[in-house]
Amino acid sequence: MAFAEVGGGTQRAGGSGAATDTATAVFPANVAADSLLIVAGAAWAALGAPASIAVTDTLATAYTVDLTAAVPGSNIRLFIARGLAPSAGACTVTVDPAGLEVDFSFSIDEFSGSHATPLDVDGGSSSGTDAAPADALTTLTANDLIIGVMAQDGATKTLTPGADYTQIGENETNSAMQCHNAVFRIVTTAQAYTVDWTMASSSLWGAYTAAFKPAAAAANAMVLRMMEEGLAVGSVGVH
Amino acid sequence: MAIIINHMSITLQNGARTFGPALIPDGLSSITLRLARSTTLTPLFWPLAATRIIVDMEISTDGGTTFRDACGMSAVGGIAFHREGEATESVVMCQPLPAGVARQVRVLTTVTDGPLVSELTVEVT
Repeated sequence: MAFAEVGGGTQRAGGSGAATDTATAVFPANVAADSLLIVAGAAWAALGAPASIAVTDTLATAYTVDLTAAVPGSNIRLFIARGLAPSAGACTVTVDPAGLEVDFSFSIDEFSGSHATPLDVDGGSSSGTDAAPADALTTLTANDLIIGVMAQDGATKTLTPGADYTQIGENETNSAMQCHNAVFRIVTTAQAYTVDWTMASSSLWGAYTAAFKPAAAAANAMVLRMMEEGLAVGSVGVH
Repeated sequence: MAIIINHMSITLQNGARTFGPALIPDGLSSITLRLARSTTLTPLFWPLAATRIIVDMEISTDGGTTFRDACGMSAVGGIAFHREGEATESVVMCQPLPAGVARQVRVLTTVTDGPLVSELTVEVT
């Protein structure tokens, strides 16, 4: 089963808060059971990058939140959270960075076709000071879903995803807010990819990527495991 | 840009309250809610870190018959600082709007350890 963005983009939404404790975003329509729910964004706090970021929702989805270190030279921390919806229904996502007065924004989206243990590779993070944020990763499985998120530490400016990537959502405001731009791409070949953006002008940026593997990989893995164990695929039902 | 509520003085006692609904001008795509907070120039606004507000924004795309949760936030008072080192003038929540005409917005607030004295601004761009 291949990845697909549920609703062709109609399930994209976002949330944000400036000097706030928590923020919520709501999927525009009910999510389906077993969908991969993605929450990607960035958070900033005056006293230092938030040490942790909790993500929960009203379906009690168990989210795994992967964080970057603070973007060097700033108090920004990027995050990508993923969880498999345990049931179908209306879904409100709450993001709660550590600290009471945090500037943060995030985007959410729903994908079908995920593996039961979704993470294929954590692409890690990159940072720089120019107008071309990017982060590279190498996928290990065919037909992966790549998620990327970036943020910058300068004045509010236009953030534009690279041509190969589809924007999930963004918040460009960056004075009393923390901007972000989140993107995805469904690829076919396991190889190196670079998730990229352009900004209207140069500033300090951070970018973070991860890749998730499709459900079809589960069947392939089972076949491989059976072969490794000396079981002929065609003879399983005979013995 | 259209300003639906412009620096409206509010004093929110403990408990829940609903603002709106208000009509969202057609053709605009995002909504921003600002709640003024304490600074050296506005020391009487929301000065206590114990005072918490929970805000839920609901949008209607069917002329006000039904409202659906769109986004929300919670925040506490006191002085906070933004990245330029200055006191943050307001708590801000902004949200893309669903497409449609004659959309309406309403805002539900719940205050604890109040009252919360502030100014509310809602603008659509």
